[in-house]
Amino acid sequence: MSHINLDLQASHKMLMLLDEANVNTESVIDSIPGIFLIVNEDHEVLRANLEFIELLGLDSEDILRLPLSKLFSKESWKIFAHNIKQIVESGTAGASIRFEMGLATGDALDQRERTFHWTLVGRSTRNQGEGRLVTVFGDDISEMRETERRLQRVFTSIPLGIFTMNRDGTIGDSYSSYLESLLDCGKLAGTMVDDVLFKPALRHMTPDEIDGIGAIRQCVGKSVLDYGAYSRTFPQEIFHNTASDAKDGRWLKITYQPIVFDRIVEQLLIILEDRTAIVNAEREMLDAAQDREKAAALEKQSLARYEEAIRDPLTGLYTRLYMKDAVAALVWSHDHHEIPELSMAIFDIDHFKNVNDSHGHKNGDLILREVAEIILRQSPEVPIRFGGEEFLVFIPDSHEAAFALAERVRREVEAKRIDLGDAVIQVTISAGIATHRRDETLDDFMHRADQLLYRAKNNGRNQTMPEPKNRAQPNC
Amino acid sequence: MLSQAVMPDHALKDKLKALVRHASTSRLKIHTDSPEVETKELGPGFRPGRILASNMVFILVSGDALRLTFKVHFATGTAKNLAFRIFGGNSPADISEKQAIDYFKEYGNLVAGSVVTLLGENGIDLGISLPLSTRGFYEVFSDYCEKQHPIITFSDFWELRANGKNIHCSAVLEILNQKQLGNLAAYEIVEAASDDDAEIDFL
Repeated sequence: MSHINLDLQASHKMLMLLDEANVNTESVIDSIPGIFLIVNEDHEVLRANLEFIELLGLDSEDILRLPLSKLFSKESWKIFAHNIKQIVESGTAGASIRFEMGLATGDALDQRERTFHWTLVGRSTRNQGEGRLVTVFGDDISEMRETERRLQRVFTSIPLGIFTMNRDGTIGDSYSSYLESLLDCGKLAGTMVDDVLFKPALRHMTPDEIDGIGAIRQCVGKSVLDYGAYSRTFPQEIFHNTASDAKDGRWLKITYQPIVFDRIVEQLLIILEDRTAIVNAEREMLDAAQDREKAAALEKQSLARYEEAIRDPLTGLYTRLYMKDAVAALVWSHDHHEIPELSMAIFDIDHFKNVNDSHGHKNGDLILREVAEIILRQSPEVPIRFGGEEFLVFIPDSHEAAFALAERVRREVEAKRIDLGDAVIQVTISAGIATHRRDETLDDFMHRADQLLYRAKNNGRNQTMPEPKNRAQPNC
Repeated sequence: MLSQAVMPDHALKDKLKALVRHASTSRLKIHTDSPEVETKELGPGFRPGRILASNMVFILVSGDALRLTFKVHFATGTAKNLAFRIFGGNSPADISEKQAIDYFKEYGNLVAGSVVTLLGENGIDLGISLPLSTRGFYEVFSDYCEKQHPIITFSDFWELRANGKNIHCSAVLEILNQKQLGNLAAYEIVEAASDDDAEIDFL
């Protein structure tokens, strides 16, 4: 075989390999994920991958010279065509533009708009048969955008202000519509964080907290390893007030989260929580607790004063003042059948004036205390020092019970020997017993008991004088 | 006997164009089993390098005097439509993509063979490469610049219609030795009787 034939054989073999390689390359282009197109400067499709053909429900035979404008809405196409023009006019191979735009996909019966991220890249050609060419890459990001929208809805419904701070201290992305009302600022993108967040709070911040504001800016752009040192000084809670009235201000709790790329803090995620309601509630609770403490102290004081007023400091028995309240209540209860009976005993120490004159007032007081102690022990109900050496006991019980009580008191007093230091003496008491008649006034009731005491005195003293057996009970 | 006369450029170009067109027409009649093949010129808006179809088969015919790159531009559907009758299928759907491509690779081979035969009759020896196929898109990388020096380079584009289906053909011709092509001045292209009996030999 001649050299020429051998060369030809070798060339043929090489061409077969190239042909096979070309088929494989085309197959790879066909299966490029997403949308892949080559279009000419007249916006006609020259080459498309299979996903594009399937996405639009087209026949592969219809692809060549398909007008790209057919795929977009009128408004979207204006932008797309403008971008293609930019690439074509740049005349630079490899020049690119990236943007997002919707694309109507599916066949005529089932069309729906899906969001794509587009990349247009200029291509060089050998001839001008098609003019300048543009490669179009389209990634379907509709699901990602839908997920973002769902997340956005979640974010916007959270009563938090969430945003990022850029390296230059401006607000980057805002993830919450609540943020605008929180900061009382309608246009946040690009605004300095210091201006909208911290400036309205400076009046209420300590010098250390104000220093911390500077640290927020300083930490961005630095190594994440240094972040901890900065973050310790960041203001954690501020009173943010853009109005003149302090009532319109808000207590904001601030949380900071570094967004790190390649170990450098590129941005800060800042989360604001409105704690105004909580702070106000805490203050109200504190005020209420303080009020309660004050009220309790006042009540205690008042009770102490009342006790002082109603207690006889010498004997410890109730005074006339108490009688008005406590005994009036007993009379009312009897009048209204809440208690079946109400009786009283009135005591008077016999010859007390003589004892006073003979042994002095100091000893007189001692005697009063001793007698009062006996009365108190025998009758814990309502013992009252009515005045001088007179004592009253009211019991919600029968005349007989009152008489028995009075007798116990009288006998114990009679049996008591009182040591006055220079002498030991014995005293006696007399008593009158009366039982309340319904609708009878307290004065009348006491007057009857007093009359009986008077009779006991006239009858020789050291005795208890009950009401006569045939006492009238007109209201029973 | 080789003539040393040199034809004027334009006459040689036209002769060569006519020869290649003739080869394309005569072979398509056979390849499509169609008695009539219509040749059409491309519209005035056509620019060399413009993509003519989604697929392309090309083959190189080369010798000391001449180099020809012949291309067939076709849609796969067209190839299937023309091929299924020849392959004995019931419909174009019976033809695979590979068969469709091979159908036009063979056509390119036949055209190149015909050109070699026609020029061989004039003492011009040429060889043929393997036919290659690729997407029509790659037309944008073709060089169709007309040149006079150092090599006369020119091109031709035309459309063929057979059995109701259209394909496009293009040829890039490079004259390497004009003197060797001198005999073509008197050469009359006639329909070869054996053309009708040609057999299809698929790759």
